Amino acid sequence: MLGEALIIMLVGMGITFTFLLLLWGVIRLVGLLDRRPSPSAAAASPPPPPGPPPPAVEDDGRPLAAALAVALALGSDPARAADPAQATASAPGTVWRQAGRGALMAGPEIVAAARAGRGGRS
Amino acid sequence: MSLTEAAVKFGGDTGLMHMGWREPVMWAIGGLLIFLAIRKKFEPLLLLPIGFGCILTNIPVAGMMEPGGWLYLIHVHGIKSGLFPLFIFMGVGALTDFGPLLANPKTALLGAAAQLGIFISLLGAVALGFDLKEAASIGIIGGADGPTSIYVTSRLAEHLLGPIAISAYSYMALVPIIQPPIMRLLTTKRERAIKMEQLREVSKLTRILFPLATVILCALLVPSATPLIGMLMLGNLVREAGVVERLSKTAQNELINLVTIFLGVTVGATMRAESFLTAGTLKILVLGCAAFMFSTAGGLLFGKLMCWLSGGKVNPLIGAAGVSAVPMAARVVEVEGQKANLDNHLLMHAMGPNVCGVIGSAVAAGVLLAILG
Repeated sequence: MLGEALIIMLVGMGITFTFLLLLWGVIRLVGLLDRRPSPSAAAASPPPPPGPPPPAVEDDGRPLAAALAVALALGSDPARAADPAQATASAPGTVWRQAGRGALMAGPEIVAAARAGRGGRS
Repeated sequence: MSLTEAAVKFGGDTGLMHMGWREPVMWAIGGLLIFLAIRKKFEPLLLLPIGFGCILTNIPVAGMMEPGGWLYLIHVHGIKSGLFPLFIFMGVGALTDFGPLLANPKTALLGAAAQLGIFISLLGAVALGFDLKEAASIGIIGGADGPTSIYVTSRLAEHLLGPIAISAYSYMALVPIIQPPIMRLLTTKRERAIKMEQLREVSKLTRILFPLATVILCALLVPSATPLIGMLMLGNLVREAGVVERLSKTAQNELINLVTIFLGVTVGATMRAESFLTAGTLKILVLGCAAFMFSTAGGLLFGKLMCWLSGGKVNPLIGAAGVSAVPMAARVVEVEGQKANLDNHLLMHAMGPNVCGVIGSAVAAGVLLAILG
């Protein structure tokens, strides 16, 4: 049985070495392919423009999303919606909300009086 | 049924009534493994569940490892089928950066030389009275690769799974203790101080083509190793492709972690008192240690040959990393290199043979399975 074990050892080490030797060759081949960029690819890629790079513009919709989020948050705040006194002038959307609410609350005759320069309902 | 009868029946079914001297000994061994994992940080991811599995399986009456028991079911479907080691290999592939090997492919040969211990200890095991299949399973410990050891043993000598897995993982944890004396014995200080050239960058194309080419090569030359190499390379392709980040992260974390839990507990569950507390276990532990030492020596000696052939450009220490034990063996090389020359950084150079050791041990396993399976 020791003889068989010896044969297994020789075959095993031989195949392991052969495999990794071939793997070395394969890696070298892949490496060669890697080092030679294709001429078409080189021609297709234009040289970078001279001068400083343009400043990064964050026009990815984030400002719009932020504005919408704020508007939604304010709109869903029941305390503020019920008590306009809580709304501060600096709060975004305050003027828009007050104007909107005013238009809803005013009847057509009040609006007409306001346009004619008369006072509203007492 | 009277109260007395119920009490007698219950009393007869307690563990205390069925326990011999072996069970507490196995609990102590399980406890020792848990202690080594928690206190000494010896491969805790594996030794902790293995230790607990060892305790569970040696609880009398519970029958967790008997046909129908939950440990038995996991054992049959996960280990006996060979699935768990393959899943682990996929995770290992997803975690492994083959860049250092691709940058310096000649170091692949060190990964082959460092498999010497597998076959030397196969010879030793045969000399000590094990049959060829058992000897091959013991020898594969020298590959310093836990999943490969479990995969081969589950196919060739399943009854030795417990001691072989314990031996493999314990010695992997002991690499920083086992390897340095051999390194100093087989190399001169001048050789250890050799600084190696910086590695080149490796492109994405190379990284993507490598796993595909390796699988094809394996399928052509050693098809019996293709399950292991195939899963390793699948994991690596998922990592390098860059378009399946979710799969890559899953393989690196959830998959490997989940399988590790069940693999560990189930391997521990194979440590039944009647099969573990034998003289054979002691022989396996000794042979496993010898396998590690011969593998280290094989890599170092081949490293010396490469050093001589390259005119002193290769530090022979990196050969010691050819045993898998990723990345522990490469770290040991780094430490030993710095002891000889403070300015010497060998870690990345050692990672080449280190990751190639994983491939080398899988190929050696494939050869053993093809001949003896």
